[in-house]
Amino acid sequence: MRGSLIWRRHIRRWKKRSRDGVRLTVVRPKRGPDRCSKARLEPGTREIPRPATHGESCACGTEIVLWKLTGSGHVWPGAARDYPLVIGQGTWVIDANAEMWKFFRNFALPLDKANWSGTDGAWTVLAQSLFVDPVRLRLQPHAARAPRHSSREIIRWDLAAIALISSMPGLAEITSFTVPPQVSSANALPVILNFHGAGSNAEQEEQYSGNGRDGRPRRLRRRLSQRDGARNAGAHLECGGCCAYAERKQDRRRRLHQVAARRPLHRAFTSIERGSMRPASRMAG
Amino acid sequence: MMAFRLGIEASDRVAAIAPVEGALMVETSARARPMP
Repeated sequence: MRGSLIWRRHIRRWKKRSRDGVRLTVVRPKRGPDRCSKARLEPGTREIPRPATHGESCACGTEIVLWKLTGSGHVWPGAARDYPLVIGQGTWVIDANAEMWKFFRNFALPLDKANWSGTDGAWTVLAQSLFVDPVRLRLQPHAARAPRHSSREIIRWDLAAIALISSMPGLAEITSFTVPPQVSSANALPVILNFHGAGSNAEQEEQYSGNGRDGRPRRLRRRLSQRDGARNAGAHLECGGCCAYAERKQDRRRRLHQVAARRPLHRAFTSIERGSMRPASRMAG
Repeated sequence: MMAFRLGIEASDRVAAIAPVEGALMVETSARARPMP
């Protein structure tokens, strides 16, 4: 999202590989890259500028959006800055969480395409049970628990893990997340995979991004709730630190269950994160 | 990089990607569909 000469080259390559007409949108904060980089806007006084948009025609409904934030440093836009002398001052001119969500919600796959089960092509998708009885990783409602979107409802989530094993050697990724029992073909929920990257973990991600670690109301969730006019809408759970921490720690597992039991679900926003990339060696066998 | 890889190799399973940092260092054939 942050602009640079390298990113411009990446965007051109990505657009070229997309073959026919991908709409490219470049967004600059109205205050200008130099002013936004000073991070003079503190939390609570944040301003979302009207972007200048340079679009190209597109017949396929696909879009690439590049946010150009020059000089903000290696800092998550819209999050508290840490070590500003080392990684930069950061900026609150935009909030990366909110901008990502506004982007993602424009795109959805048909449910049969989004159903991650079975084996296909280059990516082998495995469903494993790590926390409860084996479950098939299919977006189906829990048979015994019909969905009722009440804030007082006690909901049990089936927990599963999804492993993405590349056909290319040496790279593997495993992500734990919940399959909400009330999800059905008529009530699809978005699934966002957040790859923190090597060297980061869930606790750091919480600090950088402002996302909640244990389901407490945080900035993104609060803002989405306000926008959709529903209080206590959705939950965001951080389920552990680096290298599948939550899989090994009983206390985190219990805590995850506790939070899941008292939080309602909402179409607007439900996601779970976990630690950074798991070493490929752990996937052996 | 993982986001880019998913965008290319699992474009029929992933609706969209949003890389924040990281280089496009994946050399594969064209994806199945234009990826936002």
